[in-house]
Amino acid sequence: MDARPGSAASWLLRPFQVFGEMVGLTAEAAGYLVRGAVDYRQTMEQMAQTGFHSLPLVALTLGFTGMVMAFHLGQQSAKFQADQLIGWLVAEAFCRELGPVLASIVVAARIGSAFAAELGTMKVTEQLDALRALATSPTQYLVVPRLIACLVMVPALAIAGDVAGIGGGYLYATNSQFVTGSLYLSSITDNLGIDTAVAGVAKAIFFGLIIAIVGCHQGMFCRQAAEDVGRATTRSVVYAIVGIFVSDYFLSKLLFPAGF
Amino acid sequence: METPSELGPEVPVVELRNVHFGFAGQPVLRDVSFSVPKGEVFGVMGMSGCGKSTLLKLVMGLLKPERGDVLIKGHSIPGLHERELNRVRRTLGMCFQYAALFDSMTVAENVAFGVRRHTKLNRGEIADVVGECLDRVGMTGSEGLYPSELSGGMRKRVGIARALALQPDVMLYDEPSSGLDPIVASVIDGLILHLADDLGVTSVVVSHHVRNLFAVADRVMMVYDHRVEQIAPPDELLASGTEVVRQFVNGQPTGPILV
Repeated sequence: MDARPGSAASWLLRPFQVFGEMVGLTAEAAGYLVRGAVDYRQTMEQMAQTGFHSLPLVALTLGFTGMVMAFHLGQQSAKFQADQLIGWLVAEAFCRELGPVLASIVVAARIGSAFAAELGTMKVTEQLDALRALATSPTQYLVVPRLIACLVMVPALAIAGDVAGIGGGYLYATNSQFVTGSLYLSSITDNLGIDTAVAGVAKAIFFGLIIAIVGCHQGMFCRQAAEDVGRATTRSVVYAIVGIFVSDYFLSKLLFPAGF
Repeated sequence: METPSELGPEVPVVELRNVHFGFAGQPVLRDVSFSVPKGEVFGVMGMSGCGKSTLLKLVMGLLKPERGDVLIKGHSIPGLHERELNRVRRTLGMCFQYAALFDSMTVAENVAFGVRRHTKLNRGEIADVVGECLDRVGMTGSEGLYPSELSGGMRKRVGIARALALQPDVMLYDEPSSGLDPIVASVIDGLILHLADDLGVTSVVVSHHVRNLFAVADRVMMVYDHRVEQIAPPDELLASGTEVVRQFVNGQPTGPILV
């Protein structure tokens, strides 16, 4: 088969090539992690950027989503005299889905795109070659800190998002007098299992892996042209969000089996 | 790996044997062979896009040849694993065409980068190395500046200081005088000669600035049509009977080289 650049075969093979490159990058980064070859200064900087600086945006977006959830659930549950379950329903929705998925989307848009833009610019300006010339692996120096930051901070942001969403729901539900504050909270403590929250956090860890690897891959493997850095940045967000939604389906089936 | 002083005089520090390389099916270098003994300043000249910079990346192990072999101090590098390759790279210094300074770091952090990662020197000792390297390239006092605050010539000099910080045995210069005014270009030429003459650093200088290249190089290789056209000392090239070399050296618009 003719797989020269620009041929139909190369176009068809491209998704497999990209996936293979991402698996290779993940394996290389995992190798450095296992050997403990971690640049702690870079890692701390990336954790602050990924986690601390994303926190206000995650809290704001998920807080308002919590209010919207409480608004809709309050309207609908009133028809079935199920107002007392609003707190639990909001919490269940956030811990299972909304917390990990929405927090990950915020990070993919804010941080995944920054990874692609920064590493892509470094490639175009030969800074990646300069790292190699200084006997430093770009995967070790650039990818591993970003991977650790996402693996730690995306689940942390998902938890923060759960709290913000449940808090937003609490504010709306109690101010709209659907339920009292104590009833809202007791419906959560009585019905929400810790395993639900843990499963949601487990999903967020996987989403963190997707965001870091997609963003870094798009930057490191973009062509050496300024316009491709822009395209790589866009692709990093699109691929990461699609990856989050697709893997969310399979992870939900795996982590929340029937009867969970 | 042996230091150049431990090598026999017959072992070249840098050697390419019948190297072929291409991008996307297009040939960039065909059957390129040359060797550089210890302490020599070896020049490479040719038209833009003839594969000069690719040649340096092959020597640094940033690219792998399709065929042929690249040897540093007698050791073949294309088959080396990343860790072994990095051990070789610590003995090489590379100055990129556009300096390739890390733009999120200050000048001092750029120069200290390799030392911080590959030596056990303490903070004070690293600061001494940085000061010494910046002094050597005439950039003392620029420690706190960012690359965006430097001119093209200053960036190149900082790039040289960064490459020098690990005390390399071999320096690779990619277009060291391009985009610089003649005075700064002469300063860089002086620096290349100083490193070669006083410190015994072996150098490979890639350039299409014939005057600057002839001022520093012991021997020069002309690359034309992706192949080696001629390797000779500058004065022999000036008197070359080869039409291609004569046209390029004299900058004639007409001749076998089509623009």
